[in-house]
Amino acid sequence: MGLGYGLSEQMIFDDKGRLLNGNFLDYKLPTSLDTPELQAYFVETYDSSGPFGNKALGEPPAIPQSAALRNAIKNATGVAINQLPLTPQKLTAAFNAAGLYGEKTKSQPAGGKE
Amino acid sequence: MFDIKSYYPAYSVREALLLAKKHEGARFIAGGTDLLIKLREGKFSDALLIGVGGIPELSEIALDTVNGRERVLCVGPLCTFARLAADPLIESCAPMLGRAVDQAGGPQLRNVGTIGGNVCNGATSADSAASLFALNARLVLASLPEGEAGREGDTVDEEISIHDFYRGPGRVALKPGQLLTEIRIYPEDYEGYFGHYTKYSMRNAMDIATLGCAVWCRFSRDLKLVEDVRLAYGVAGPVPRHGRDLPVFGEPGPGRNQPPGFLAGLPGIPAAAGGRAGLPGNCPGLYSSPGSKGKRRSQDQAGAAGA
Repeated sequence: MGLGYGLSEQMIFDDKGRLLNGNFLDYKLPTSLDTPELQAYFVETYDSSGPFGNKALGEPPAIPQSAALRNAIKNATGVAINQLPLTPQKLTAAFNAAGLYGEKTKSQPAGGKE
Repeated sequence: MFDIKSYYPAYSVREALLLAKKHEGARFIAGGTDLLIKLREGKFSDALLIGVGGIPELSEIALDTVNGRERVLCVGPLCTFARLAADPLIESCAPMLGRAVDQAGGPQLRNVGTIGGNVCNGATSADSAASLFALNARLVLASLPEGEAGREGDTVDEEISIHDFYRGPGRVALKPGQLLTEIRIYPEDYEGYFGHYTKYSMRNAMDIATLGCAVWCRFSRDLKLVEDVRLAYGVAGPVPRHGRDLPVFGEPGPGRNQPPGFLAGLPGIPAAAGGRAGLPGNCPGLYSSPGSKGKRRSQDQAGAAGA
């Protein structure tokens, strides 16, 4: 869930507000083949706002992955991208703007194809 | 849910063609993985469907003698993607094709979707298309003889190249009343070749290619010269394209005068050459640039002449 949020899931609207990808082909949920082996660790703390010090285990665990992905990309390339999802198109544009491909290409076509 | 007016099953090619003649505007349906989606989306209504899925002779894979040519790889259009991916004959002659169609959709689709349907649907993103272009596949289109004078079992076959088959997005050179009955790959297009199909898509399954590229090449016996390289692309245009039909961008790279070396940058090639693709496993220096002497020189001259 967190991986899809960080890498591929995106609702795309046209200028009239119509949803353009209202199906599970064009709305890209990661499949089992896209998901690496994941490990989860629990950090137990006392949360003073929850009953008996409990912390929720619903949506909160799906939030930090995208931040970790963004930081991993920044760590690897030095390029900070502050927009989700981190699609190949977005990364290519940002890397090109940062000059990672050598000289800046003037008319970089949209899309992540190289 | 599906706006189907009638469904007529056919059990032989001739029966299917006769049904198509009788019911004007009818469509052939095999796996239905494209057609039923279009129907559900309301792309057309009151559909007349002729089921060709039960025609036994259209689901064979064999090395046949065709027009006096031996060892022609004949693939029946009703072969499902799963069947092609697991077929030993495909694996030995054109492994790239089996692996390419193994990347289409998910397991359910691959168990039902057929290669003939994939080709006739005319989508540039078809996973089989780039490989079939690189393989110079030829398609056999059957129709009824003129004037309906034919005897029982009579059909007229026309063989056309897949390069001429795709006419535009979703449009193919299939005339009304024609049915794809065989996909042929001639021995000069697969013997000694190996290759790889790369599907670039937004995820690793259940997706349509953003770009597909098939590479199919043949080396000389001493493995020092690339005798033939074919690149074919899906999604790079409204129809799948053979590399020779595409415009060339930029200056000729260093690969120009280093025949085998330029392949080193292509992902997946060394693995395929090393083991699976029928090339002798031990070929030192194949992927490093210092090449042989004689052939290098002629390539250099060619490069200089072109520059």
